[in-house]
Order: sequence, then structure tokens, then C-alpha cells
Amino acid sequence: MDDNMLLNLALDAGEIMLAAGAETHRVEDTMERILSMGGENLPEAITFSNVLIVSIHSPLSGCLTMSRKAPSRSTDFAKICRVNDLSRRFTAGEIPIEEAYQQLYTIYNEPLFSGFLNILSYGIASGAFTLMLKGTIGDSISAFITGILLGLFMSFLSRKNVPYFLRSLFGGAYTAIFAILFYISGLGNQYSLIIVGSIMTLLPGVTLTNAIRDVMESNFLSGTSKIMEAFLIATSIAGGVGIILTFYHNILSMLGGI
Amino acid sequence: MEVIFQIVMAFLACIAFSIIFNAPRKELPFCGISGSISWGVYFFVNQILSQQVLATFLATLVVTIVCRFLSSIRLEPSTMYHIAGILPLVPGMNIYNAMSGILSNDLLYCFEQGVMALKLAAAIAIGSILILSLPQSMFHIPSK
Repeated sequence: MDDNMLLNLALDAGEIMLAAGAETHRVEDTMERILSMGGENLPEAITFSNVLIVSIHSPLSGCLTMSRKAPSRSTDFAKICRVNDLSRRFTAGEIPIEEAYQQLYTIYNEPLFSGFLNILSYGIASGAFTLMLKGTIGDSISAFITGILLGLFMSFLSRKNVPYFLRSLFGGAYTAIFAILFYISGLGNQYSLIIVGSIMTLLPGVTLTNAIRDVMESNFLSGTSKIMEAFLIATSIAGGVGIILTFYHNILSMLGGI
Repeated sequence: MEVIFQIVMAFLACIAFSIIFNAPRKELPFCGISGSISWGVYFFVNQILSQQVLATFLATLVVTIVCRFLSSIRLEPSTMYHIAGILPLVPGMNIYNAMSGILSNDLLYCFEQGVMALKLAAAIAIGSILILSLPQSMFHIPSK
């Protein structure tokens, strides 16, 4: 088996999984499993927060090492599951390396946003969360509409490649604007519940859960960097909401003064 | 009655979340079940004892056990079910309250709510770690 090709395959698989939001341990495990198909070659796979390094000891060409930087993240469970499945079938010897390459390429190029259903689920999640926080039906309907508008806005922002913390800041501000509009129109009863229900879709729950797992597997570097990321996102959202709420209160007190 | 309504809502919310995170279509019901179990335990304990931190901790323990069994039955990464189960427990309300405390210059309220959010996050972390560090062989269904 061609060693360079094997290294490339392992890196490709690792890159897709890391970018899709898999935890460090799983990425290293998958890459090592693919590398061990080259026979007795002392495979080693290392992953830091967004860096992938693989190395093998090849009998023909000596030590081979390759490293790569993974791109920005957006959670995508389907990709993780499919790469996981592909690596298992590859190591079981069911598919040759060329075909594994082809399949990884198709997985890599799959778009994340599947359109209408995705946007609708932003709305359903927001509406359901508002009801879970003991909001009224009116609150829930407002949160549903806010959530759908937020879903459209977020997919627009990620298509324009806006940095992740600005995305959270704009998302928070956007949510607050619509929550206050619904509150003024009389449909919503409490704007805080509409805001909390809608920003649940932006909160870094996945990042935090993966950070816990990383720290537990003693991958402290990846874990702490993910905790920082989660903290930054949460602060950006709160900042975005806060800016709009301050404007709203100031305008209210100005109107009260007249 | 209220409990059933809340559980159904959690089921819907967690399925919607899993669609946003692009989970495979055939795994969606299991993600929903995991979310409704966690919210059900949380709601039940919180109503009886009115202890938010304890309720979050117990819910995390239960849902992590459930998702490890689900992962060994369905042969998919357990992260998927785990994330769907933990999402309803994320202390969004406390983070919002802490922020609104800063805005209204009520720093005592901000600190109170901020520390509460940290306590809840720690409860989730400890609950997950306790179950996740057990070996996988304990979560094997022997019938297969």
C-alpha cells in the first residue's frame, strides 16, 4: 500500500471529523485505525485544538510525517457518523484505498444547510424552549417566528464567512430586536422569555460538551481552547442582546421624559 | 399533565436541534428521547425538591447512562445523543439574567445569577464525567 496515500487518507478523514465537531479522542482514534492498515508501521496520530499530525515508520522510505490545519467548525453529526462508518469498512478490508478516497471526497463536499427543514427547526426549537420556560402561547408563537428569521439570518452570515464571534453578536442583537418588536405589538407577554428561547439555538452547548470530554481524556490543550471558545461565544451573544436592550430602555426613558 | 406537556416540548425541541446539527435522519427519534428523558428528570426533581443544581446533576447522570446504552445499541457515536440530551439543561436563563443585571447596574443580582450559571455548568460537567469515565463494557447489552 502506498504510504503517502495512506497518510493523506488519514488526514482527510481527521480533518472532516474535526471540522464537523468530533471530540479529539475520536479523531485520533479514527486516524490511527486507518494508519494501522499499512501493516507494522508504528502509527501515531496527534490532534491539538485545530492541528492534525500523523506519522508512520515506512520500511521503504523511512519516517513519514504530515500535518494539517483544520478549517473553522460547524457541527455536522451526519459527517462524523459517515466518516466513522467509512473508516470501519476500510479497516475491515471491505473497500480499497482508492474507493475510500472517492467516498471521503463526496462526504467532504456535502453542503451543511439542507434548506427549508433546517430553517423550520430553528423556529420549532425556539418555540418549544419558550414553552418549556413557562412562557405563554403568544410568547411561543413570537419565539417561533423570531427563530425562523434567526435561522435565515445565521445561514446568510455563515455563507458570507463572518467570523464566529461576530456571528453570535449579530445573532443576539437580531433576536433582541424581534423579541422587543413582538413585545410592543402585544403578541409576546415577556420579551426576556422570547430572547432566551431563541438564543438557545446559538448557545455553545456542543462546544462545551466536547470540551468536557476532551479534558476528561486529558487532552487539556484542546479542552481549554474549546472552553475559551464557548465563553467567548456566550459573552458575544449576551453583548449583542445587551446593546439592543440598552437602546430600548434609553428610548423608553426618553419618551417618558417628553 | 404539566409534566407530559413539558416532556413533549423537550422531545420536539431536541429533534429540531438535531436537525440543525444535521444528525442522520434515522437517529432523530433517539435524540428526541434522550432530550425528553433529561428534561423529564430535571422537571420532576425540581418540582419536588426545588433544587435546581441537584435536578440538573441527576438529569445529566440519567441521560448520560441512557445515551451510552443507545450508542451501544445503535452503533453510532454517543456524542450525538449526549449533546441532544444536555441541550435543555444549558443554563441560558441564568446567563441572560446575569447580563440584564449588568445592564440595570444591579451587580449583586448579576453575580448571583452568574455564579448560578457556573454551578449548573459544573453540575453538567461532573455528571457527564462520572458516567463517561466508566468503561464501555459496562454498557453492553448482552442479548446480542
